Amino acid sequence: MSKEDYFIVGGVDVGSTTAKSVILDSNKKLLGKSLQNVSPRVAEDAETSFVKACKDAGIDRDQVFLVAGTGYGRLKVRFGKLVVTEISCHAKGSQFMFPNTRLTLDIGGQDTKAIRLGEKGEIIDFSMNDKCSAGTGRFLDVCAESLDYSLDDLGPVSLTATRPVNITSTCTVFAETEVSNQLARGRKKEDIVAGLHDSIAQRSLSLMRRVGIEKEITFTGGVSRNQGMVRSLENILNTKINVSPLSQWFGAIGAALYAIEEVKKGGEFVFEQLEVHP
Amino acid sequence: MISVGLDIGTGSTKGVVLEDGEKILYQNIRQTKGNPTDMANEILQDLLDSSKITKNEVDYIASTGYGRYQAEDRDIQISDLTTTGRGAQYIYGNPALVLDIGTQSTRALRINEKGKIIQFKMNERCAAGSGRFIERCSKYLTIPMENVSAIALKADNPQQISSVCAVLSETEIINHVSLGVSVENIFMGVLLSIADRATTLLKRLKMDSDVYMAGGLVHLGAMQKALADIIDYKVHLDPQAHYAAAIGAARLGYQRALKIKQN
Repeated sequence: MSKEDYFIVGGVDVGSTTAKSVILDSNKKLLGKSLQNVSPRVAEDAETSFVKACKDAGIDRDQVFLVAGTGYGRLKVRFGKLVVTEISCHAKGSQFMFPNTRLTLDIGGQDTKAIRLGEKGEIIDFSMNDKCSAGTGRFLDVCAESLDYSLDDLGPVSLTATRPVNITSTCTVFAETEVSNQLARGRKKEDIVAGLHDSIAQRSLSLMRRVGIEKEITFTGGVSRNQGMVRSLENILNTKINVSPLSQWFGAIGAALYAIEEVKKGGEFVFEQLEVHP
Repeated sequence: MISVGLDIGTGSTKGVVLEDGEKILYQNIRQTKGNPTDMANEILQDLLDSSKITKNEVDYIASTGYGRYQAEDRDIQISDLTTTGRGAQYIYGNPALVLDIGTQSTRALRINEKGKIIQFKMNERCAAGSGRFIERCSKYLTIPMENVSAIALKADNPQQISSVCAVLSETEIINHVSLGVSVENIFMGVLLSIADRATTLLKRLKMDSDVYMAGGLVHLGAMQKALADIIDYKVHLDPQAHYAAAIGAARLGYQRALKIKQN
């Protein structure tokens, strides 16, 4: 494969909750994508997600020259020949979609990361929380359940709040109790939901402060689909942040971009781990 | 003289009627549901009815626990740290180290021979390490709380939980289930992880003597075993210590009432 040849690559981002796949061509054009829930059988889900993306792109999986895996379950992408950490991929993806990105905030199902980028998209520093579920998508998940909402309802409901409740618990489990106490006190559901979003925004802020808050900020990961979360973050940061309908796929896009670079470099591919760290 | 201690906790509300600061006439417990004011009223009414005492005959009411400010009939509210220390001293005699594991908090107390707190360490910010964690596990593994202890004691190869968050542990436990780990081994693993966190608090106080348990987990004999596996000193457990804070409140209430009368 020479530099000028046309080829197709795949990026598979296997998270704790969902698997995201994209198909890109050598001109960095997005041909197809998919979203798949993750069960305990991670390897199968990763493959299903990739096959779905191929279908969405209208291609056969054999046409994909190189697949790169990333995310928490990246080592389960056994059909891929390249493995890249999700920190590198989210940084790469956000810098590709929003070239002036200096800080990427990735809120996923079970962890949250703040990544600071340099002018060329290189990673300068990052900070993450993967020990505690407060401040992650899981927090919203648990609270949505106790309020009888679906996860997708939360954003729109949050936007209708007039007086957000102050949630003081720093633990998901205790926040759940606090939610029922607030309900018993007669507080409106939407005000509670907005309060929950604000509490995640507060946690994200401390994570971002640890790496240094820089303009522009790009929001990625599954929680970035949530408009209420975007608003809470913009309120607390007092600035607009970049979000795209593709935000959830930024990790996968980043992985595919790494695949393109590797192909252009030439060489043989045997399952290779590419760990890019600051 | 009659004093009443009301302990409105996050998980359960406990009440005690005490005669002359020594003799327990009646005690009761109920799950905390709804607002603390109603809980306190309900438990107090039951105490009075059951011990056939009118409200006028009660000399002093002391409230404690997270809902202590909401108990309408209280003469005083006392921090649950203070009352737990006093109550543990009444129940156990002279316990130097008290480990109080409740629904939403875990505390390690060092007390003197009068039950007064000298030093304490606590965790009330995170559910891992608290009773709520066991409650949640019992719910999603569909094992009633009262069976948890007996089940955990049957464990032959406890499965340690590596996650430090109660919510993230759930995912880990579900994975254990799908890998075929027995509920016995899962539950003992959960108790061991709680014991591990409790021990961290005790170590910060310096563990230099036997440990005496208080709080809701005193009903779990398996918890004593889990702690004993980690702690080099003896772990003592008296189911009556669930009432430690309520008893402590009633005793302190009695002392105050006595002082007021003498003046």
